[in-house]
Amino acid sequence: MDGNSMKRQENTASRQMFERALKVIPTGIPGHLGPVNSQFIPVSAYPFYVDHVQDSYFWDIDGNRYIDYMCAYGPNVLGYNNRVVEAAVQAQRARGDCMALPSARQVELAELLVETITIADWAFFAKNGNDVTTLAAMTSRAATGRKKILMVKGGYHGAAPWTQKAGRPGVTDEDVANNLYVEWNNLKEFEQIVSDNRGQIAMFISTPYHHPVFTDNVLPAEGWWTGVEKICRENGIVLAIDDIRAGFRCALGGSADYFGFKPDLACYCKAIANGQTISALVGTNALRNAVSDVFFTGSYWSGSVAMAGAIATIKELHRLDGANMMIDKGRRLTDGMVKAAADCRLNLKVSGMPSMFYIRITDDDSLMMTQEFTAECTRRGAFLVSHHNHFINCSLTDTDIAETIEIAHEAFRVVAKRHGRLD
Amino acid sequence: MIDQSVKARVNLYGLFKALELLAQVDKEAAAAIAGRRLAIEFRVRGVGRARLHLNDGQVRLQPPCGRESDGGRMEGGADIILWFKGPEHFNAMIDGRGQPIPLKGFGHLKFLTGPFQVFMGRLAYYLLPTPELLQDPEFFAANTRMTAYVAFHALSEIANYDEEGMHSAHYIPDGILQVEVVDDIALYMVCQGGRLATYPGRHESPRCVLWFADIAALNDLLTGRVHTFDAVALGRMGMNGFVPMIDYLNPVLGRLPAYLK
Repeated sequence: MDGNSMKRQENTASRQMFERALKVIPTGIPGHLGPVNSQFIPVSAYPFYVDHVQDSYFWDIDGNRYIDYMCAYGPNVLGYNNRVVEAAVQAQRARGDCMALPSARQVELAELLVETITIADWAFFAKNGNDVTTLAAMTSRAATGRKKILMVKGGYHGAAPWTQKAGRPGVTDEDVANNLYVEWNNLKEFEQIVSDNRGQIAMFISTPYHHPVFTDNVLPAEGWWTGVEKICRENGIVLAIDDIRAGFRCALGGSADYFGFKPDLACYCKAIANGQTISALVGTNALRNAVSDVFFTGSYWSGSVAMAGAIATIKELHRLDGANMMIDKGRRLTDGMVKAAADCRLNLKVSGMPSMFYIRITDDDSLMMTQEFTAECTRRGAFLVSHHNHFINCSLTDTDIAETIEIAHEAFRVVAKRHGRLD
Repeated sequence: MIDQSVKARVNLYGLFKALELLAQVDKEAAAAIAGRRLAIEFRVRGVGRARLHLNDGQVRLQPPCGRESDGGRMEGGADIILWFKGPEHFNAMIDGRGQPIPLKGFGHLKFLTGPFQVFMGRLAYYLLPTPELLQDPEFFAANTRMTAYVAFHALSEIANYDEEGMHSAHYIPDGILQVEVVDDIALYMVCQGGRLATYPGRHESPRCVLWFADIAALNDLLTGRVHTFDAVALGRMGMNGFVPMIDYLNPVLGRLPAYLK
């Protein structure tokens, strides 16, 4: 079914389902998929519930098809319901998933990650990104005997209290008392903070490049990572990369490989299993004993189905040269969108990696025009949001890219007319 | 835990701000001060001062101008000066448990203890309503508008002076945050360098807008009957523009009920 050539339906079923949800689920849709956290502005432009997915598309419960540029916020890396991954998943499900002992898939996946990720000498599995950022913090503290964690202002490392800001509901001052914050790309400030807290910082954790919400994404400045790595080495600070969002969308060897530095720990989640529930902390031999000392586990963390899915996903990403493929597709898409914007006398800024592009219309500083643009795109079948980077997946076709650019052109035209840029 | 001096600021610059609106919407209140042209200054030691200008049924609250380190200058003179020993003394008066110390304007004592008391009493009538009164749509709307006036002016005081409020306000991006009910009341907050100032009206170029579909939606939020997320998803309120301004304002909003209790 080509949903975009059909008349699009109102989001009636989505709204009805949401009203049912509100009675039994706080906020209706909790977390980052909820209409508020997802910045559905205006909410009337966006669907709330998915019926089914395939490749680069989802169909909402009102029957509308969308080309999906959020990719489940990252996990969809090969395409939804990828045939190879699903076959591996089904095969393992028939043998067993959550069992009294792990299966051999755990060892096979760890071996594959060690072969794939340049810095990895070992792998430890969990379920969500926050599991492994927390494990990274515990491991660094176990290794160094220090308390403080240095991170980048505006960075995101999960939803556990230690990763949030003081003042947020449910977060105490004590939860964040050992956190230090540095501006992205500010090596001088980094050096000063380390100097001011000499012998107290256990870990510096950061994404490989800065991809906050609501703001242009920023690649590392010349000398940032080599400088950070040097200071961490000299001061016994564990260097951890949070590659949960960017992992395998910059390089299969790890985003640190792409940007030319060597962390001690790397956190993975979204892209490693094409939507199967698994995360991994990988690290160097120097931290093998420390991570072994930490008690950290969960009921489903040895689930074999997700591990089988991860093995199949990573092998497919190798076969397709997935990271470069997504970078290329993202570049072609965003080049086309920039031209379409210019044709409507609007300026579209694209930042971050092309495989995880962030877009903003720079003609105002309030994001209002960007919000209007992403809403108009979504109304026409290209699912875009205004606050967050987007994601490319390997199944995105040239036809999808062309269709999206056409939709973007129409959306830019609507916004430009509304703001007097076009007659 | 609340800081008494912040509470005094909330009362002085937030609660009293609603007197401007009160005089506009309530005939009884306007009648109580009709024909009067007086400037009443409230001086609270350790907090600051504000002057209430009564002008034949209309009211304007004048906060001090200039830097606070200068003690907050006030242009012109006041007809009546009411002094308070400290924030606790002022807050006690607001709660009906204390009396001010007049420093100037003894000739107006009869007005202060008579018509002015009636005028102030009308504020309590609107802000502390009975459930029966709230059944009247006109009263309900007036109550909501006045509560919003108090709340959003109080927010600036909490953001600028409450320890937890200041911590959160520090992160609020610069710009104009507009709060409005469609075709109804509007206020805007100027956010600059982590400090806030609230003004009535609509700004021509807000960076972020928090809007409510109607007075009932605003009331639901102010009284905590509906969670913001639910109201947004149902289209009863919405945000657009640079939403981090609201995100970082939220913890300050969370401090509001304690100060307005």
